[in-house]
Amino acid sequence: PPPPLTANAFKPKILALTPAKDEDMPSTYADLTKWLFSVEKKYQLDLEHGMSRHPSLSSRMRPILVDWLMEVSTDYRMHRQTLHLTVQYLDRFLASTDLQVEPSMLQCYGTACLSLAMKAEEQRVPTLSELTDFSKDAFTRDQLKQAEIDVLTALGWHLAVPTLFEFLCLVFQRAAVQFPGRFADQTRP
Amino acid sequence: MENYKRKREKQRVKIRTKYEIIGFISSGTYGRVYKARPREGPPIELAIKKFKPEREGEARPTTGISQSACREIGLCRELHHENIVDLCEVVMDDNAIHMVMDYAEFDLLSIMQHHTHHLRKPMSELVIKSILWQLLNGVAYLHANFILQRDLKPANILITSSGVVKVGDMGLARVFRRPFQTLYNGDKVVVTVWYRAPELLLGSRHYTTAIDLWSVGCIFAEMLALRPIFKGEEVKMEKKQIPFQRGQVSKIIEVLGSPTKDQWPTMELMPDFQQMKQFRHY
Repeated sequence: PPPPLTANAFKPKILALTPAKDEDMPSTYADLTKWLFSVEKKYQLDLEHGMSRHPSLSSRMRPILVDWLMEVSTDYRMHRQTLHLTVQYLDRFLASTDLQVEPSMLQCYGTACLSLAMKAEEQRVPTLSELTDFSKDAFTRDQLKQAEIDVLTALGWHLAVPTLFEFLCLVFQRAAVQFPGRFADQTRP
Repeated sequence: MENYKRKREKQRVKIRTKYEIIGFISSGTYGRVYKARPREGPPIELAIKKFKPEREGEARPTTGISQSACREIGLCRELHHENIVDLCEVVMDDNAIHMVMDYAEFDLLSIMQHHTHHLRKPMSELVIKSILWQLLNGVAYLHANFILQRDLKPANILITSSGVVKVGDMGLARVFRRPFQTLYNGDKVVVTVWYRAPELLLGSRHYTTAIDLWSVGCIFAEMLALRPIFKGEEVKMEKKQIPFQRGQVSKIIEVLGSPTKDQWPTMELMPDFQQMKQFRHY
């Protein structure tokens, strides 16, 4: 009879990525990683600090909003990068805006960030009324339009900033090159 | 809430109070470009690109800030280079977005036309060399920042009165740093047809920085000959179907000869390869 399963029997083999050699990686890989890190550094932010600038927001509100954004982006089959960008815009907005965000307006600003991220990533751009529908009209179209402008101003129009998602893409690309059997077939178009 | 509104109103810069519009440069589907001068500070000339304000009550539902403005400004914001048009400021005023940018006196198209019609002699080698070098310098910078320009043509290559080349109009530009994403998904047709690379003409879903360099090559040839090297006839889009650019492809083959598999090993994998096979062999 086979030996009983114990915790020890479960030993997943974790693939360790070795540093890429020149010959098995496109030369842009190293440059790209370096470039992403350098740009990311410019926009790094302190989450705690961002929330504390808005005294009427409690720390529970951000996770609730992000959760809702995840739900919306899944329901509408948006690209993953759209969600990552949205959350990044939101955090940078909270950390740098001159306005004081009231709890009632947080969802509106979240939607404005989503709208901007969709413009950057998605093929089809949602209309303002579609966006207010997402939140069951918790705010008006005019409020949303103004929120978009407020977010852009606070971000200084720096919209093409790398996200976690882009780093992940690179890791997977490398994995695909190093372990062709495991990844490559699924990633080939 | 009222307080914020008042504060916001105060911060809002009026474009006309900050800049004096002194001329009109061009207009397109995106909006208009004006020549302007700042009211304060050094007396420099600037270009202001005003995106069409979206009107209320239009049949099409409104989408807030326009997507093309978002993309173009988002990209330009990260770019600062001697040979790239610099975005100085973004101003939002009377429902429109204004990009305040470097101003350049000339563009390559008008310089070439000047040589053809007025001077009636070729451009000097030194000038061509300088323009080409600066153009490549700017394009190399874009590529190093993982941006494809995707619309290089003489009209988009601006030249200041002191001879500095500035690559302009990033309206079609796109970042290409995500490896698995095909660029084809975003915009189906890129680059003005005379400057469009063969892989694009054959419907390739993936493409690289090579497409910008093809355009640069075409521009180089055009500077030497003072006429476009591949002046193909554009096939108009019908029923939202992207047509095969028969005229352009055959023009390229007439000039360069039919490509062989040695020169282009993946040629047969191109979606529209069959179309090209029907051409006469050169």
